[in-house]
Amino acid sequence: MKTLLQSFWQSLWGMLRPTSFYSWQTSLWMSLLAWLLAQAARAPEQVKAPISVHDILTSFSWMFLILAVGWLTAEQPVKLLGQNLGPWITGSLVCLFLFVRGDYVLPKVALMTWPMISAAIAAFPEFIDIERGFAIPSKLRVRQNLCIMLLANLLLTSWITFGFRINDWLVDYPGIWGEGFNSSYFIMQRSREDRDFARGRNIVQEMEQQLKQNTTFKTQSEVERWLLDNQNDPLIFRDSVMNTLANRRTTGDRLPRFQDDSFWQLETLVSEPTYNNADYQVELRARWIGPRVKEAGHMVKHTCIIDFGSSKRASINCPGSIIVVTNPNDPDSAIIPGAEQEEVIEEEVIEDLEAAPLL
Amino acid sequence: MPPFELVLPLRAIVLQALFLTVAVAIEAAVFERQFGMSKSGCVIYSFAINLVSTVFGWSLFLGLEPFLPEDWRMAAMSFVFFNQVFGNLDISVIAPVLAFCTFLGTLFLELQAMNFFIRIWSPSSPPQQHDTTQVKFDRLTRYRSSETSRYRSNALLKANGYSYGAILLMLLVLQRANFIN
Repeated sequence: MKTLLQSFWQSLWGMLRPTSFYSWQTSLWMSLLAWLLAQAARAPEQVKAPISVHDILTSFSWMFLILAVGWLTAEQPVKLLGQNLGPWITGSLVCLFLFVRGDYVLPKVALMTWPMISAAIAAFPEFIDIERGFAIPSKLRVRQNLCIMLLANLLLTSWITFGFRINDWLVDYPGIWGEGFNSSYFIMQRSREDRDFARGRNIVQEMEQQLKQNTTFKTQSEVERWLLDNQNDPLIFRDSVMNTLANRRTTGDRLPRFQDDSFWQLETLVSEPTYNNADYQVELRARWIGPRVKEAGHMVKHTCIIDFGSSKRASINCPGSIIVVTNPNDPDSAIIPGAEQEEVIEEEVIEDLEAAPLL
Repeated sequence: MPPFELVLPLRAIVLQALFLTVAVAIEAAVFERQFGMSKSGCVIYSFAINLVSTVFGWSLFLGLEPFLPEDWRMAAMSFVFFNQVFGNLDISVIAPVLAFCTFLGTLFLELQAMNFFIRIWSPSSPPQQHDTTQVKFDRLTRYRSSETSRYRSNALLKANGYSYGAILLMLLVLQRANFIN
């Protein structure tokens, strides 16, 4: 054991011991030294100065580390398919140093600038001529390789930017999650989960809230008036639901409003009650009409029953769970999010979307 | 609220790499026959001009996307996520027009790129320009050597036509396979 440790230590020291003053090991040790000094110079109680000794020393530590890694990868290239990956390793460190540090974290900028910074690092040695200093390389092969490398890294930047762009779209238009991505040529297949329908479910929950607020303890004619208004003018109901959701979102977590409001079609359908002792049965539906796979997008719905009882005042309750219909043309695609799967939903034929006329 | 999950455009990357490889292979073969350059030189030239047009297309899309009207963006999202185009745009009119414009744009851009690369990589410019009087063999040789830039654009048109056809064929096969699924 002791000899093993000894030999391990010796090989480690043999690797890290500076062979000469100009070597990557020197730079690595300088980086370590600067980091230790920075730790020593840390003074948390002090008033925050714009530039402190700690910050300067930490920057020095980073720079020496970048130099060490760049030097090491230049001496011992890491090769993949004949291409030296060293500059891209060094470039990732430079991006971390520039954009992802303590008080400001910009991973997006870091990742988007990474290919170009790495390309600059890779190209830099080619422009240095021992006799003439800075010079444009004269060898044809070198010139060609530089052009190809620059272009390939621009393509890499485009891919990374495109990746960020589609994730931005998904943040702005969360209803898209509810559709399957299987036919896409751009992104990988993924199976849909419960949480992918979260946006539709939130909308239906809010519809339910508003139904309860607007009809509880009302007389039958008032309830009918409200339901008829919703059927005649579904956009007003949608605006009210979406505004409430957006307000809750901005007060809660200070996030911008979702932009997919107009991609949801809100329907309140009144149908013959299937439950006993119910006077009305209202089906609340949120139908996705934004970008979608099939002409009929996914739909989230919840059935509520209105009961006037002996007091002639409305009371609303919504038994059962919220149902997601992934493909409205195929009743079998109805799934119930959440754990309670024991309830078998007998979906009526959905083609007759014309509900029983009100009044 | 909405699921937090990073969606990576891996299919787009793989497909684009595949299409680029095919296009470079075909165009390099055409250049080799038309210009009589070395194999590696042809590959480098066609790789470079294809990269230029690809990068240009990406930057055009990524740069213009924030300024698109809502229904155009919706069409773009439908296309990216679901391989569908909905909205007010009529696909049967838009697609051929767009494809034709892309072809012409690519051709023009690649011609410019090729001239540019020939200039900056001057030592091995593909068509050596002979003096017309030196060429005494036949009309084809004279044509090839006298009007190099016209000959160059004809060769590029041929190369682009072949590679476009190949990519279109691959897309059709993909579409078919997708449909069967």
